[in-house]
Amino acid sequence: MTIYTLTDQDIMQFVKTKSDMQSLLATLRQISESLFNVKGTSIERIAEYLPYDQQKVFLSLCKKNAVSIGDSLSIQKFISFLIDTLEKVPVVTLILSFKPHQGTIQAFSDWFLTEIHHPVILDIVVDSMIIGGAIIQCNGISKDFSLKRRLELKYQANEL
Amino acid sequence: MFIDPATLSILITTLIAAVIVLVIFAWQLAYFREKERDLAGRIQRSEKRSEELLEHAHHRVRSILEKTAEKADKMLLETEYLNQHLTAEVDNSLKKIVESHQQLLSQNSADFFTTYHKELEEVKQVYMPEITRMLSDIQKTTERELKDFMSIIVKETVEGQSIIGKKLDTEFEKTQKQIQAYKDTQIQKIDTAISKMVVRVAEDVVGKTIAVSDHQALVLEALEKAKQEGMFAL
Repeated sequence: MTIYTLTDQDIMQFVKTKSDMQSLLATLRQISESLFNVKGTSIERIAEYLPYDQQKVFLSLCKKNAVSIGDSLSIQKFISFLIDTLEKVPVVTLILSFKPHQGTIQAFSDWFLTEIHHPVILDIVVDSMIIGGAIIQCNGISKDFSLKRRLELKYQANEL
Repeated sequence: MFIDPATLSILITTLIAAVIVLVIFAWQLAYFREKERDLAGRIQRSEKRSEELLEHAHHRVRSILEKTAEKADKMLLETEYLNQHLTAEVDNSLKKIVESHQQLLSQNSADFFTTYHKELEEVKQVYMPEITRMLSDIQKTTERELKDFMSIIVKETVEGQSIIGKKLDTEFEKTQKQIQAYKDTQIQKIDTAISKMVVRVAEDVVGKTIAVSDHQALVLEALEKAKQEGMFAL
């Protein structure tokens, strides 16, 4: 039985947000199903379904795990391993007052890798009412670190 | 042709016997015819007799009916007469009886009235003081009960006024509490509204002016706080 390895960086390279992960999982399943049904090579199927950035990551992961690109069965097994691993990555919900760009998302992902030493999938929700900061939900716990909350606390303490 | 004497004697005997039988038959026939004639005569006579009897019977019946009718008419006349006579007599008798009864009744009525009046007078004499005393007793009892009733009514009215007073105090207290609660709620609402207003102003003023880098810094700060509070025990 082949043993594959996937580091935290590998995961975070591949996917950062929940919406990205849902899209990636659907694409990987599509590739896995199409490997034996359609004419053409495996590399053609991967190129057809995956975006360019993810193609590069996928191929480097295949190389790292000694998965032969010409062997459809090996690729299918590796895809199955990837899906199982990605589904186990914990999800952290961040309710923000603004829509973050890729750089900001990358900064948040990096923070988790450096500070928590664990990859996470970020579920980003935008709610302008919170003014700033974030409401964080993880493992069924929710904490409000928004500016709105801070203002309310200050108002209640007659500091405003 | 020669005939044997024996045979001849048999023939002669037979002939004689035959003649005898014939004679007997003729005699019998004549006898029966005579009997038939006799019977027919008898029947004829009998029919004639019965017709005569019937005629006689009719005649007799008619005669009886006529007599009966005559007698009946006579009896009817007599009865009518007798009836008229009897009716007059009965009327007279009844008139007399009625008159006598009327007289008797008038006399009895007068007697009865006199007796009854007399007895009533006696009863009156006997029971008048008793009735007067009873009426006096009833009057006294009624007056006493009315007095008691009045005192109870007065007492209850006073108590009722006291209860109403207490109830009014309770209601007043309750209303005051309700007013206070309402005031508190309204103040709370105003506070909430002001809080929302402050937040909205802050959102409008601060939210639009915060730079993306500041937003990012605030989020990272929030993540740090969450980490310190042990939220990421992954």
